[in-house]
Amino acid sequence: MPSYVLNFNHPRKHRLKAGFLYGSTGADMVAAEWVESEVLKAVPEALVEVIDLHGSGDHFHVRIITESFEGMRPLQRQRMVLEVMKHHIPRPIHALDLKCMTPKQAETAGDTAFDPHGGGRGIHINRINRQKRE
Amino acid sequence: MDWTEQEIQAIVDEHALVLFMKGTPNEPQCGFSNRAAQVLQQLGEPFAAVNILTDPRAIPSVCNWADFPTMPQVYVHGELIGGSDIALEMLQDGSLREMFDAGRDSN
Repeated sequence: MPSYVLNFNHPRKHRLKAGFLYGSTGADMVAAEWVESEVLKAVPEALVEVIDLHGSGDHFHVRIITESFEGMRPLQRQRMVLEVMKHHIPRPIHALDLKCMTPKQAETAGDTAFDPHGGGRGIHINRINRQKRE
Repeated sequence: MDWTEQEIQAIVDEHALVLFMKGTPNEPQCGFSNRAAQVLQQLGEPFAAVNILTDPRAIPSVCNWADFPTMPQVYVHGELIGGSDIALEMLQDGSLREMFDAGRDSN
């Protein structure tokens, strides 16, 4: 069985801390602060900014800025971070959009956040809307 | 299709550009997959799109095989470049075109 199907790595207290619990369905939700602390395990020296894209605690855009990405290809940079984060995908984190930049790239990057459901498309948007209504 | 490592490998070996995605380019089921499909359409080269929502075994099989936990995934000449964010970045800075052309010349 793939290792990420079962996931015991995220303590329940973080889910309870998340503060955006739409209903008490027990759905996996984590706080942006927890995502940040997990990313920092992979790149301790980095500047990490986490955006909870829908306030649903499972879709995150993460900007990671560090000099140590210099000279690394984009996939190499993400693999560094995913080494830790892959254990949290697909639960509790369903979508993780990583933007790995050097400080120089970050200066000119502007707003990097991309909302995968911005156009109202996607099979998950209904679930999220349902959770918000509850 | 049983989504064995051999079968997945054969797909990326057979096509110069492969996109594993949720849905199809015309009916994408996820914004990230839609963005990746648009990147490849803008590149203007034929690509194979594999809808991994057709079989519940597909996502865990492909993700395990690739050691990459998310969908979509973009392959150029058999090599994983990443998801939609990297594909877009590489389209914009020209490195996707460069990598595609380089592999095509050597084949």
